[in-house]
Parts: sequence; C-alpha cells; structure tokens
Amino acid sequence: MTVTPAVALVTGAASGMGQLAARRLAAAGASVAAVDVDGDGLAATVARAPNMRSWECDVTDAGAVERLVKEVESAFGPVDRLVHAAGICLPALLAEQPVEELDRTIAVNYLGTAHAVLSVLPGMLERRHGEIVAFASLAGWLPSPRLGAYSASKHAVVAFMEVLAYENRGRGVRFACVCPPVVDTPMVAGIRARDEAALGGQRGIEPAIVLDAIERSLDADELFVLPGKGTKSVWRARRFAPALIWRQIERATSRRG
Amino acid sequence: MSRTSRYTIQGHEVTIPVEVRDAGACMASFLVPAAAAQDLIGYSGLDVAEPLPGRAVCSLAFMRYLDGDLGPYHELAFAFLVRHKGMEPASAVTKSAEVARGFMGAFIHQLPVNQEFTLEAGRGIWGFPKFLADIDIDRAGPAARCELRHDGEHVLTLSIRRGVSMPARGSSVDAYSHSDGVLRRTAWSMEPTGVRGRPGGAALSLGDHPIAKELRALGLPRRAAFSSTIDHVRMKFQAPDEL
Repeated sequence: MTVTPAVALVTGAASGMGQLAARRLAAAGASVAAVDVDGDGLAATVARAPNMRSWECDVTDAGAVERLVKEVESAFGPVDRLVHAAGICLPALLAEQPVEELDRTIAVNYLGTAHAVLSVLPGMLERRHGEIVAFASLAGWLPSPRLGAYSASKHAVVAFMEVLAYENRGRGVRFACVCPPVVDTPMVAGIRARDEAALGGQRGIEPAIVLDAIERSLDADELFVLPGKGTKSVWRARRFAPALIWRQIERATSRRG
Repeated sequence: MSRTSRYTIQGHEVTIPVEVRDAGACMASFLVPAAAAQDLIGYSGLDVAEPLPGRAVCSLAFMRYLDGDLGPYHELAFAFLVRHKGMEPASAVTKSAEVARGFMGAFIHQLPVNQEFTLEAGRGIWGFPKFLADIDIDRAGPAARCELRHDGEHVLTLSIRRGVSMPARGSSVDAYSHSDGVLRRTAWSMEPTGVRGRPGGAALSLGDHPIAKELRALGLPRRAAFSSTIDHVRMKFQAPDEL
C-alpha cells in the first residue's frame, strides 16, 4: 500500500482524471494543489476541501510553471507527488488539420509534461524522495487514425518519461507513465463530439480503474501503467508485432463506417 | 421538532438535502450477542434488532467520499441495526420478522472521519458521533483495506475481499444518532452501482484503543456474516428529526 503523500500537485485538476486524482488525494488527507487553466472547474474541485487549494496556470508556460511550484511549496511544503494529467486531444485527419492545432497539442501534452516534471524533479532528487505520475496514453504506443497529433504528442511523453526514469534510477524518485486506453472522461466526450469516427465504438473504462492501477505501479516501482483489461496485451503486440496491430486497426476502422 | 434547511459550516452554506454524488463503500456485518450489543448502545434508548433470537447485527463500513456537499474525506462507521424508536417490546419471532421485512433502522455508534469540514457538518447538522482520526483506505489491491488510528493508537484494520456481482438496488434507511442527550432520526437514501458481496470475506484486526475494546466486548474479531463492496454510491441526507 502506497503511503499518502503529504503534498501533491495535480495538473488538469478541473475535470476528468486530474479532478478525480485530486479528490482522492484530498480525501486521503494530502495537501493538494489543484492546477488548471479552467477556473470554474477548479472551484468545483476544491469546494469544501480545506486541504485543497486551486492555482490557475497554463502548463505551456515554463516560467509560470516554475513560479507555481515555488508558490505551492511555500504554501504547503515540498511536493511529494506530481500528478500531471493536463492534456488536450483535437482529433482530425493529419492532412486536414491546421498546423496551429499540431503546435498546440505538442505544447500542452508534451512540453506541458516536461515543464511540470522538470520543475518538481530537482527538489525531489535533492530530498531523494518523490513520485512523478505523468499521463501519456495507450495512443502513446499505438498510432491511431484521426488521432495523429494526440498520438505523436503522447509518444513524446512516453519517450521522455522512459529516458527520465532511466537517467534517474536509484535516486529515490519513482516514476509512473500512465498509458490508459479510452477512459470515460469529459475529454473523451469532447473527442466524440468533434469527430465521431475517431474512437469508433470503443467504450471507455472507468477513471477509478486507472487510479487504482497507478497506485499498484507506484507500489511495485513499475514505470508503465497499463490499466484496463487487455491493455497490456495490446501494448506487447505493438512492441513486438507492429504490423499485426495495423491489421487490427484497419479492421476496426473499416467497421466504423 | 424543528427542521432547518440551511446551515453555515466554516463559512459555507450547506443546504438540505445534503447530497453525495460519488463515494465508494466497503462493509462487513457481524452477528454478535444481542445482550452485549444492547449494553453498548443502551445509552441511546434504542433496542437492537434481532434477526435471529439473541443475535444483533454490528456493521463496520469504510467510505471514501470524493464528490459531495461535505467535501472529499474518509470515514469509518461502526453501527448496529436497531428497532425503530417507540416500538412495543416483541417476541423473538416478531423481532426476526421485523428484520426480514426490512423494518429497522441503523444506529451510528461511532463515526470517525479524517477532515474538519465534514466533522463540523456531521456533528452540527445531525449530531453524528464524528471525531477526527487517521483513516487510510486502499482499494487498489486484491482486497479493499482500511486502517483506523486515533491519537496515534491503532484502532482496527479491516480488509474485505471482492465478492460476486450483485444487483444494485436503491434503498433508504433511517439513521439514528445520539449526542448530548438527544436522539435524532435522519432519512438517508442511497443509489449504489458496482455492488459485490459474499458471505464471510472480511478480516478484522484490533488494537488496544477503547473502540477496539468495544468491538472485543462484542466477541470480535470473528467471521463476518456478510461483506460487500460498492464502487459508487450516490446519497441524500435529509434534516434530522429530534425524538
């Protein structure tokens, strides 16, 4: 059983996975810094939780993230756990997608992760203690038509986290790179609203399953968190038989009509 | 008997009914000697329900509140099934029949929580016996587990194994609480989803805290009659009636 961190910083805390992660940590008694660009959503997250405080911050701004971490640490003390859940997904066929959307996706999903992680890491390494949880996606392993921009940004997160964990092994900090399949969250509802075909008929798994899997991975000190039935098999197949996966994707997309 | 529909807790307005939109719950129920249970809750003026002659039902439930009017927190409830207030003395057969028909209430004997807001709201609005404690809940492993500590002392550790999937039915129950010499009854409704249950299935270990001693006086730890886990439950609490 993992120990509840004394201080947690959660990005993307205004909705979905980040909101649930923040509430679980607050329920368990941690001091929680809830961070997002959506002030109204943050207000709902921190309502009646005296041990939670909200900060509006855009993770694409490296300087702002650094200042945020300083503020949080002077309010609560050193951050023991970062849960970086901030992310966006703008589905489209790559050839038709405005380049600004590609820029924005990389800025939020990949650079946002780098900014958040690198702002808390030095303190954790110095204290030889801390947990860094970053949300990638199964799409960070499995390229999927209509999710090209998202998938590319999550591949970057996977690579970043794998290298980071390797470079800092044995230094007291645990890393978890979360690679869930489709999860039932407002983000997924947004993807469906914008592009019905992007997710086909895939049903989302419950957010709670993802958070439980994160706890188990932190416990076991395993880098990649692959929650949900069959997720690990898909992940293995992609690593060891990439062509097979494309055949499956073709079959699934041709069924989408 | 007066009913208020608004309360101010730590500067926030809380309105009735108080709603919980998402919580998780794990519960174990034990058959215990009715005489010992009655001794323990006699102060309330209530009588324990007896599903079997000479047996009362004691429940331990741990809850993780995520989204609700009282904020996010952990709670452990130590409760008994009781006969409704004011019912005539009855024979063992009648008492069993009452339980079989679901005609009974729940008396909350102890209700530790780990956050101040819910502490103040629970005591102030309903007279629930809430007090602050450390409550660790882990539902990520093969068994759901809760460890309760109070004043640095281990009270209990309860783990509950997954049962089989069961139909999730909405229900409502009268929750009784007793504080400062006043008995209150609160209508409490629940809509659970993701319910699993099984006979047995619980492991309880006790420390030396006074609450652990209360449980020992009931003959615990022993095999649970039934245990259950609930993934999500929505709940509503009405204003209490003073009895």
